Amino acid sequence: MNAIPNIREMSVKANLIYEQLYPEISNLSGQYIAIDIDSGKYFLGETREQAMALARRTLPNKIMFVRRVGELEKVACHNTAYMFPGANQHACLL
Amino acid sequence: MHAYFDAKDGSPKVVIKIKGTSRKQKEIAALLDTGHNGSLSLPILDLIEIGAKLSGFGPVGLADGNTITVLYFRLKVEIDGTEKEVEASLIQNPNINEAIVGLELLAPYIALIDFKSKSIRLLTEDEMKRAVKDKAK
Repeated sequence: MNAIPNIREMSVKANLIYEQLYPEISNLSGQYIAIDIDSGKYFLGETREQAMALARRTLPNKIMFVRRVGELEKVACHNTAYMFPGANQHACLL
Repeated sequence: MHAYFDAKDGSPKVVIKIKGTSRKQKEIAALLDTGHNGSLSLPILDLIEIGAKLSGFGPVGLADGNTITVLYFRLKVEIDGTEKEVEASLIQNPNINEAIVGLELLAPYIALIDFKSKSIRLLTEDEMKRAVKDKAK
């Protein structure tokens, strides 16, 4: 049986790999990168889905670290509402 | 694509079908959020119900400037009879039971939103051209 992944530890490792890679991919700002934190292999795509699909062809069952190159993807308020329980989940809508 | 303003909360909603690894599929009305530049965010119960598989994780930025790590689940979304593979993020707030559709999933569409009369239409480029032609007749 597979062990439950420790996302916190994996994130620390993944961010280190990303920071090391960044100088060679910094010109690809806005694209998405999927990184296998065990091998360091990475895959780029115009969308997260594209980057993950490319990764899956080589590493079918791996849990990948995925992020936008450069500035992070923005999500609205659905997580913020958790941090501030009184917040309206639709406060940032449109 | 079927979209409408929900009379209950006044928010624009988009109707999509989601499918995971189990055979079960589910039709949902997701909140259309133009502040979300990903594809789709789903509550945990929807992800469990369709048997979506954990595929990744990564940082995203919040509107207040904070950064959090989210989990991504692979699933299929059916829109207008066409299936598309999507990496949907998990909505971490357990109190939220409504899915959120972001701009990436709507990229092939042109949105016509009339806030005054509370109507919304999402059209493909071809549908838009046809509508303009029909109006010109």
